[in-house]
Amino acid sequence: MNAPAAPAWSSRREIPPARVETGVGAVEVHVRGGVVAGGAPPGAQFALYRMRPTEVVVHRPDGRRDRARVPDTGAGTLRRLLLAGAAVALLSLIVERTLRT
Amino acid sequence: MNNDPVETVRDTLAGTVGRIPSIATAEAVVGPVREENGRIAIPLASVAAGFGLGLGAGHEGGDAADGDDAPAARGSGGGGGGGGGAKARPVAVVELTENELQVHQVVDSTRIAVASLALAGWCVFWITRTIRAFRRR
Repeated sequence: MNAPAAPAWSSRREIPPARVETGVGAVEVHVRGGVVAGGAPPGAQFALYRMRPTEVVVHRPDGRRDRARVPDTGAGTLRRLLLAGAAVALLSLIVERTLRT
Repeated sequence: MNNDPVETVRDTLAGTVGRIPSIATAEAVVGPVREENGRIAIPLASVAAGFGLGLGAGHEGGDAADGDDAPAARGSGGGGGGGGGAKARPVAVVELTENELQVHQVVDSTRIAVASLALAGWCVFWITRTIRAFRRR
């Protein structure tokens, strides 16, 4: 039985930017994320990836270069909500403990 | 040429999953470019995907090299499973003109509303718990 050459664990954090040619210049989209792949012989394999755009750079034909950051307000708000929840739970536990002693 | 169907399926699926890292490029976050009245719109998305599989095969009674007539009396089998999922969420739209570059963010208000409600419930639970502890005292 020939076992396939399953790759060992590998990950890649550096993802080259995407390039789109438009009428007003080339648009470069920088991303943040990574790819993880791995496997174990004889027949197990997996692959995961996640990417998010972070910055847009436009290379104009006249040499100008415009940059803009891609905001992620939704994720920021969710992060703040999570922190607020953790803070409320921690404060409640501290108050409860103080009352008991 | 491999005639074992289990191995054929395994090789095909393993090849498909193995190719994923090479196709996971930044192009996946960029949507189709639309141009209208001198304005160019490029949608951007956050993407995530995961795939996995496990396959195996075996022969009953051990090694086939035990004897010449032994394999005919033995059974063999194989099986496996796999799964995967992918998610894409719009995060922004790039608006491009001759002189201007603007990035309009796309906020998922439903997600934030649900998270806010969950936080409200969480806070009510902890505050009620603290008040009860205070009353017991």
